[in-house]
Amino acid sequence: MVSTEVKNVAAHMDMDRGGAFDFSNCIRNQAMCKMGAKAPKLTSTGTTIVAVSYKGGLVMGADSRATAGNIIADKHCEKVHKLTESIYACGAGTAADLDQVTKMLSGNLRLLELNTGRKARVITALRQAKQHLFNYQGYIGAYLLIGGVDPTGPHLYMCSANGTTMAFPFTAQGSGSYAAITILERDFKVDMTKEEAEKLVQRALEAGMHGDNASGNSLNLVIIEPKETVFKGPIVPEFCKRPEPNDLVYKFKTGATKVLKNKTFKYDIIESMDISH
Amino acid sequence: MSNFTGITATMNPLAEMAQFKQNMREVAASPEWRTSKLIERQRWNPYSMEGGSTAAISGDNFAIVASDTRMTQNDINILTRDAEKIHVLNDSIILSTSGFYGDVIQLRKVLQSRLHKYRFDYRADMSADLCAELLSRNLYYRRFFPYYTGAMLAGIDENGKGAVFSYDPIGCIERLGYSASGAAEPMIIPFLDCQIGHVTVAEDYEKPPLTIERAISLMKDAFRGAAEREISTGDKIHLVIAEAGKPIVQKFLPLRED
Repeated sequence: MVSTEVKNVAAHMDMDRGGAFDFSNCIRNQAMCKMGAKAPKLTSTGTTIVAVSYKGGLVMGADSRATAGNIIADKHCEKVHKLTESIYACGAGTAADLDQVTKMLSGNLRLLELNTGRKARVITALRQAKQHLFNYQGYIGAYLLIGGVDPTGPHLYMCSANGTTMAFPFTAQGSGSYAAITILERDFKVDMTKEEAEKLVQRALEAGMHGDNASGNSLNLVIIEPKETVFKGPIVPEFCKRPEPNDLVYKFKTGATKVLKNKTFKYDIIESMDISH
Repeated sequence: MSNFTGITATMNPLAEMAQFKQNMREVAASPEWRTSKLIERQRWNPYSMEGGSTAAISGDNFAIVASDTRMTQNDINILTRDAEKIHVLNDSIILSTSGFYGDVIQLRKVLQSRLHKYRFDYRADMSADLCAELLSRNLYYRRFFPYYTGAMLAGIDENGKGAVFSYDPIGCIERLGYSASGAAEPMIIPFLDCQIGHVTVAEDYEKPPLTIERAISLMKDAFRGAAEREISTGDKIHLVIAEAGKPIVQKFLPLRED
């Protein structure tokens, strides 16, 4: 009886959004909180992501550390996402949201390219991202730098989780952005060469990785030009390497684990399978 | 991921169920996202945590204390890369601390002045055992507004043996063979349990004796390992070695800086 009543209540709430997300536990969870339960806390991953435009192109980059609280969960996390051949997105925020949003964007943009027979534009990717994120009122924790080159030139945009977007000549995002932006503000010039821009992005990322606890390990770069897109990485800066190896070798010899019980099973082999190929 | 916590079974499950149903109805009538949310006022907090980790190992005639030198704000921001978390109080007592650095400084000041007074009164340095008890009392004295520190006191005791005393913030004291405190404590303790306590290996397995060289190497490796996976540990290892009949030696070794 209880369950049917709950179902009716949930149906009245009109929460189903066509199979996108399942909100059926929302009411129950709020009732549980009223009973004194504490809701689990969501953690977002600290990051440094940087992008700089230069004469005729764009350089984007990210570090590769994913954290869960104060523990490094992933040392080689890929934060530079490919949307199309010449549009990329760097993500900061909740890892799962970023993966899903960029996957959705790349799928939609590919379909668009196939339907129109032209290359997708960066503004299209941005509009799709912001409309999706605004729909969810910031609950999808994806903070994106969307950039690329299309027939109208190089473009760089930032898209916040609540749907705010801005256009930039250079910018940084994530917990390491404060350190990274200082380098960009000091050294950014209009119409840099490709090499200058690449070096600048790398230096900004290194500043972020150095000064921010939640960023580090290694960095990935993507250089987008009208003719070709080059992906570089993972690059490991000097301060991200272990300065000294371990003193001792931690290898256990046989016998370290106590044998509690011994049991032998005997099988008759009736047929053997050839697994050599 | 963590789950919902906080609900405990009551005496009357039927009444609880009825209450839950009532709550379900109320929440469904006006869910959180349709009401204007109450803004929780951020209250000022007298404490903060500056991250970092310390560990201590005692042996037959030595005690080794180590810490990293990174000081962190809000787990993310690096305040300094050469903070001192180990304080050499006299020729045989080393205080190593983690937690709220403001309280660390105050605690050190209190201990130093008490040690100074002891020296003035008795014409001798305080022993590690005595200082350990003194620290415990000083911590418990502030029972209801504690020094927010994970303190450890190490040194050479009255019998010339290595000693490590571990404390909680309100002065619960325990003499141990080895101990760790701070952000990487959950990583360092199991490592030392395995390598020094030998709690995970079979009884008849060959166990290497804890020499001072081995203890130093284990300490270095513990921090190298912690720096790999804990974000607020890094930059440098501050190693302090006390050996019976010898002056205290201090060393700094590099760690990764990212």
